[in-house]
Amino acid sequence: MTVHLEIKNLRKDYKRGETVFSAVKDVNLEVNGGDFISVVGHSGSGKSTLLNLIAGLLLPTSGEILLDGESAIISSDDKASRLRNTVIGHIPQGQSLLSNLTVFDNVRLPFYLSEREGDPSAQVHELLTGLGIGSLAGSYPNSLSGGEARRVAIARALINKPAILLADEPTSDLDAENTDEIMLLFKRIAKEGTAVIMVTHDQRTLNAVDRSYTMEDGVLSNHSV
Amino acid sequence: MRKNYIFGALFVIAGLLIAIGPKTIFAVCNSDGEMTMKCFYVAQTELAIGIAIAILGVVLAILKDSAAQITASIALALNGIITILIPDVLIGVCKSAHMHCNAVTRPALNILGALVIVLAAIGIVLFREKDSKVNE
Amino acid sequence: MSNKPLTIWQLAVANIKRKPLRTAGLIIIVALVAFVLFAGGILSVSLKNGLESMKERLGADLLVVPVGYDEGVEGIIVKGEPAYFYFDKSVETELEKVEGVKSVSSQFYLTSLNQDCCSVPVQFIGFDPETDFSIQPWISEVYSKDIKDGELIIGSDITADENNRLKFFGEEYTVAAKLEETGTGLDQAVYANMNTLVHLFGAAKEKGLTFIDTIDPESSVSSVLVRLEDGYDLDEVTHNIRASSDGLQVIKTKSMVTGIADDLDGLVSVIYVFAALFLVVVLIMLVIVFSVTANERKKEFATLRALGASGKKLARLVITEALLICGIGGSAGTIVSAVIVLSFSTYIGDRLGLPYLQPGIAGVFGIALLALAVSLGLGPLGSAYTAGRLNRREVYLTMREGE
Repeated sequence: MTVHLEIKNLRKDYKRGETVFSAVKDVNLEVNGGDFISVVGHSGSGKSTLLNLIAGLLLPTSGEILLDGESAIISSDDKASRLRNTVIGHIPQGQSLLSNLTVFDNVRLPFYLSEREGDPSAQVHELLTGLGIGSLAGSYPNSLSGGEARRVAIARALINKPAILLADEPTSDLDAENTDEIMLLFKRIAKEGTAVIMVTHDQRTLNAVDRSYTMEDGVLSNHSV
Repeated sequence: MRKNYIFGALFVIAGLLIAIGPKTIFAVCNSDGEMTMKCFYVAQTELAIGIAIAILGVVLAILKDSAAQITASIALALNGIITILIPDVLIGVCKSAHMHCNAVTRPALNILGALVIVLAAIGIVLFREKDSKVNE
Repeated sequence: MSNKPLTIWQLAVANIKRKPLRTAGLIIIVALVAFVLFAGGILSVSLKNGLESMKERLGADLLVVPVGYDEGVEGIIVKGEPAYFYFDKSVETELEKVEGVKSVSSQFYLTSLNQDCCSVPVQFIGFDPETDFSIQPWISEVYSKDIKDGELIIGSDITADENNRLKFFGEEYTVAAKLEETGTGLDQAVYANMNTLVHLFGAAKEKGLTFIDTIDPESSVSSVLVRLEDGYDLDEVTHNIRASSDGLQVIKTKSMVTGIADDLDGLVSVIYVFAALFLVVVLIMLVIVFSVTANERKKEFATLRALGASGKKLARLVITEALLICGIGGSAGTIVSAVIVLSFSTYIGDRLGLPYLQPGIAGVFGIALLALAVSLGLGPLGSAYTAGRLNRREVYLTMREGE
């Protein structure tokens, strides 16, 4: 069974002095498990705000986010955090690994952020090996290359087997070869049933996705590849 | 390795304090007159022990082999024990609780001696850890 | 690589371990706080104990000494500085007749020589077992028999040899008992009855103590302790004594105690004010350091949020880190302070020149726990502001676009 994410008239307003400014304006979007979509836009277009809204890190001003038909807008921080931890895999922008933890600890960290039984060690090694970085488990992030660090962040996003994978600029600062590999990886992840939502301004990624949207001044528009 | 430099430096400082302290900072009581006091001999003996500790500290900083570092640490710990035994057991200081050698020199030497022992013990553990890592 | 669960605690340990300089700096500051608190606590309690014990020990309302020797007798009692001075024994009988005086008892002072150079002069205090009310109650706490001629009772700072004997002016004396510590100069005194003192006096004369040549020990005393009749006023009786004869200096033990109490209050309030100021400064500093570091760690916290950590968890992480730092610093500071302050207690007491009686093990432990608890409390207090900010939704939690 795959996930069904539905976003209806989603809006996020910020007040700047007297003027109200909408970072996200009446966005509608539907994503299913297995989809690999991208949202393209300049910085400041509202695409990261959209991701944060989906992740429950921000509360929308109005609109709805439905996860398998149930509202995913939760005012309790604890509950929203638990939902995010179990349903969503998040690859934040840029270098997002915790520099005080080894690669191994970085990847298994999300497992321990909610109450869970068991030991994720085997899974961590499996993920790292699958991403071709099995030998780096004991290293600290500052000794990794950009491509390696991004793979670790992907492994970390996958550790809780999320239904939705959110990726914020996953290919920034990467060369063409690494970019292609990561796109292949996302395709594979999508094929296994996960909904992959990627926010980017990297044109190189466009032909890898199933659907692509453009975001400008908070407005999301369909954009055929 | 930086570790044994730090330890070496600490032992040199402690050793010099043990050597010179009983004659300066926490001096023993004055010995005027013909009779020489116990504390005078405490100061003399600690001068020798303190210098030995300082030299061992330098040796520890130079040594690279961890077995040799552990040996030096054991020697340092023994010297620390002697540092304490001299005023407390082997020679002793003036009986009166309020005389400078009893109120100041003796506790100062006890603390410095204990410091040398504790540092040496930590050193032994650390140098052994390094050793076992190499063997893995 | 450890397979131990990655708890908040483990995360906090990793975080403080990987910032060794910052951690070491904070630990040292907290250790200083604990050091000051423990040392200040021991100092103020010891001084108060010393004063209490001196009050109890004196036992007399008035002390009468030859004119000009009030400082001499204070030196003996407070600082343990030996002194001797004499007036005629008839003073005792005269004082007994003064209105308002209930009982009197005379004491005879003498000091030993620097015989071998490893000893300081000792204060001898001779008392009259028939009339004494100030020393015998304390002797009876440690020794139930009567003090025979030739027997000594020693203060807690005097050490007898292995055979429980002490040698003065070439003769050996038996030590009958050792008094409990008082923290006053009286710990450095040796007590005996008048007969023994007269004997010691003779021996001292033989050894060439020329300054006492003109004194006849049988007809001289050094001080007379006076107890008042109930209902009589101190000033009134002091006046009566002054009127009765010349050449007497009357010391009210109460004002001696209050004089010291005044000194002590000043000293103790300086200790308290210093400790409190230090505590406040460190607390403010910790608040600033934790909040500045939190700003630097915004990205780290935002990542944790994105991975599913609640605001509460972030707050707990920051507080745990602060607690770890304060726990380590507090223990280290308390231990170092205990080693130094307890080792040098005799020296500290001597330098302060005030009665200084260190509390027992339970008291020391209590003060250590207090110092530890306060320095540990700095952790949550110092990080509460930061933790509160992290616990608020939407403020810290998102990585801004373009960041």
